[in-house]
Amino acid sequence: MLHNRTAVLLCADLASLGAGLNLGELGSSLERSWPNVAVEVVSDLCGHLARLAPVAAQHHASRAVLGLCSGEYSEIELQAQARKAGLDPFGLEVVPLGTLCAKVHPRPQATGKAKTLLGAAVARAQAFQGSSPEQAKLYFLPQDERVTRRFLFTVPPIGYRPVPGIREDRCVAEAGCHLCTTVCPQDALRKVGGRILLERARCESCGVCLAACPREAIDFPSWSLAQFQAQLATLLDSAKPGGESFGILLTCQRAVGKLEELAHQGASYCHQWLPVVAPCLGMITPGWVLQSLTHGADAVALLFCGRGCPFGQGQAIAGRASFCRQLLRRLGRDPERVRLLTSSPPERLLRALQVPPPQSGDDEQGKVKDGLRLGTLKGMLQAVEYLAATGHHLPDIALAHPYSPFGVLELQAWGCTGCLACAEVCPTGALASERHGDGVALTYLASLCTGCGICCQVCPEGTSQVLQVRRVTNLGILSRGRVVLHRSQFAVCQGCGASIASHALLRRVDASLGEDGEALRDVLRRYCPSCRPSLAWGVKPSPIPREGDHDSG
Amino acid sequence: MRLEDLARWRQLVYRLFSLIFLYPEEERLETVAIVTAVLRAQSAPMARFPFFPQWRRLLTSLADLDARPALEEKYVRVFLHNPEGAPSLPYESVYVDPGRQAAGWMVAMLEREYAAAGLALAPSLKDLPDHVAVELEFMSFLCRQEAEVWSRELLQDGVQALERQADFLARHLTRWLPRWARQIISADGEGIYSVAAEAAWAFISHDQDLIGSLLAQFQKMPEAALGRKGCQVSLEERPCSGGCHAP
Repeated sequence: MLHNRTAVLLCADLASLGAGLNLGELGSSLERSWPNVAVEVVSDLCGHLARLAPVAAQHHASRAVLGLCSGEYSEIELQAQARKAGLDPFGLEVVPLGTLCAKVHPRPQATGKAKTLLGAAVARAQAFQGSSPEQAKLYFLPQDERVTRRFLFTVPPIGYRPVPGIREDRCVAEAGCHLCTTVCPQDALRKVGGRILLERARCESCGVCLAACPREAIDFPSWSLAQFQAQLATLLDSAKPGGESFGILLTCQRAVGKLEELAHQGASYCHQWLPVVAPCLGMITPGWVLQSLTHGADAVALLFCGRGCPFGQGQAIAGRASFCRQLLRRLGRDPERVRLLTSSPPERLLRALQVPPPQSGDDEQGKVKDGLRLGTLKGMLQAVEYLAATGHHLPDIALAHPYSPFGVLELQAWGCTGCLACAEVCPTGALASERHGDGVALTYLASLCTGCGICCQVCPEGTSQVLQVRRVTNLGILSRGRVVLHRSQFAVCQGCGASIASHALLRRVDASLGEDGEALRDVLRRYCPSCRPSLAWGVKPSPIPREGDHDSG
Repeated sequence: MRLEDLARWRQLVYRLFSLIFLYPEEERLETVAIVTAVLRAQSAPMARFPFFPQWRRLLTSLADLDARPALEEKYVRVFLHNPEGAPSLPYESVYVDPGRQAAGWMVAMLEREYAAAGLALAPSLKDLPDHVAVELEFMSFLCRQEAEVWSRELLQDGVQALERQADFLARHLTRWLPRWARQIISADGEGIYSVAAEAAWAFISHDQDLIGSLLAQFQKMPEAALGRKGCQVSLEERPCSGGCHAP
């Protein structure tokens, strides 16, 4: 059995729906491109989802992709059928080929687009890593409002939706990070005893936490970064039908219904827009948008659900789109390559989708060759550098924007006592410390800085604003390597030879002791905390300097 | 599916897990076989639940159980004395109170909780009240109570029974069983105790969600439907218009 063997089931009705799809060509082309894929055309699949199990068993499939006539199917029924087939329902990919292709485009274009979307869905299914029982949130299907005896004593139909899990091997909450808890619109994430806990009952599966975590420590079955990466990479590789321009249509799950509506109304729009659905566009960072452009897409449109976003992400989505457009403009690129679309009114959406994506002018050779890296700043940096290198940019471009994914840290050296609290808490490792003999250096790598500001929160000199962070994408600073922000020398214990504290910190303590603290000042300057008690008892501290005996003061 | 049937099924599942995590005496293994057979016959509707893969794996493993001496040796190695590493002791206090400063108090409170429900530890058990099998058996008892009140169509009592279960799960099993299960899974590999721990973890995690969702569903209902305003639930197969029908 091949690893991740995938069954692709296509509803036979797709052949006659709207302009219809050429299912024979679709199937043979998919099987040619994907050696571990088996395609079956199933009669009335949309009405009989139970047909999934026998097909999956026949092909020994561990993954499945369903091409259905529309997105209107019973999710609960589909989940139950997937489990019966021994498949994880969260790994199941459903592509409503009828409403996304057959009903809205002419037959050849619809078949071509269906081929691209199915290939991306196969890649997505194969990138699925499985889910744990704790990542399934139960919900009851809303029922008739009437309260009858039978209703009261019966379990309502149950469905499940995936919720994120925390990868403790990657999470640095123990060191002080709590970024995911600050962005969760439902307050479902809490930090308890150095660990991030998810309250499943509150979680609405929006995925916004995924965008906030700089460590890729959030694992979200169905919507994982690995799945999106695989899907986008396949779309970007396989799209370019006949050299035409194409755009990625990043679509909010709640806005997909609007695309379906357009199809049901018999509308027709440009086939070069390829949808990628996300649970909420609040999870999409500028990195996704810019990397899509540098990996082959001519344009990216963000189709969000509108002002009624239940997660309050409208401002963040618009802000990120505005950042991308401003950056493109500053880099001498066409800002129209990034668009923000709302799902209502439908006429305006239709007009926007009828316009083909603008030609980027980039040739195939000019594409970034490395793979997508949606979750880290590295991918974003690569995209910015590529756009700068190939555009008509100013060499020292700096764009200050509240939604810049990069931050720039400024340290007032006069106020830093070298306590290193900032380096300990930095979740990305942008701030770090290096010891050299009796001194320590605080170093900074701007290309890892997300501007999260946790370092400023923990800095004991916070009131003096010794550390300040600004949200700026500054190519000059980003291209620098790791730099030393501050050096501190440590006073050495006369008793044991261990480090006491930095001279700067001791000077700060000196100043606060005033004139009466001369005796204490002397003790603090000469002995480490371990040697001080023995000194107070009149016992001379042991003069055996052993490395690692004491922590620094 | 009727709530009563679901409660009876859950009662049996908790009972099965309780038996599996006790020392494998002959009589217990016979009961395991009987309970497994009953549950296997009822497995089809369970395919809708996300713990079904783990559950199916457990039923398969139970059908092909080792001989008793081998099982006894495995039990000792996994739970009591592991020469190659620390055993996964099956007691709540080990995980919730690793410093063992309040273990005695915790055990006493559990015993009081069982006594309040009219239960006491069987003398033949010779073990502590915070043993995983005892806590699972208590959940089985609470499910049985729930099934009985559903069978008499006492809605408010049913809600209270669910609240008791939610409370016990939140204060005890869900606080430590996942950590304990993870430990067994990493120590026992593909063994029966690893399979059972994984299934128990999946089942309990789901059960907590299920009970919480059922309670939330009942909370959304009109007060009168729950009989909280002195109005009884109609036993007629008729819609309730803005409240419920008086009998």
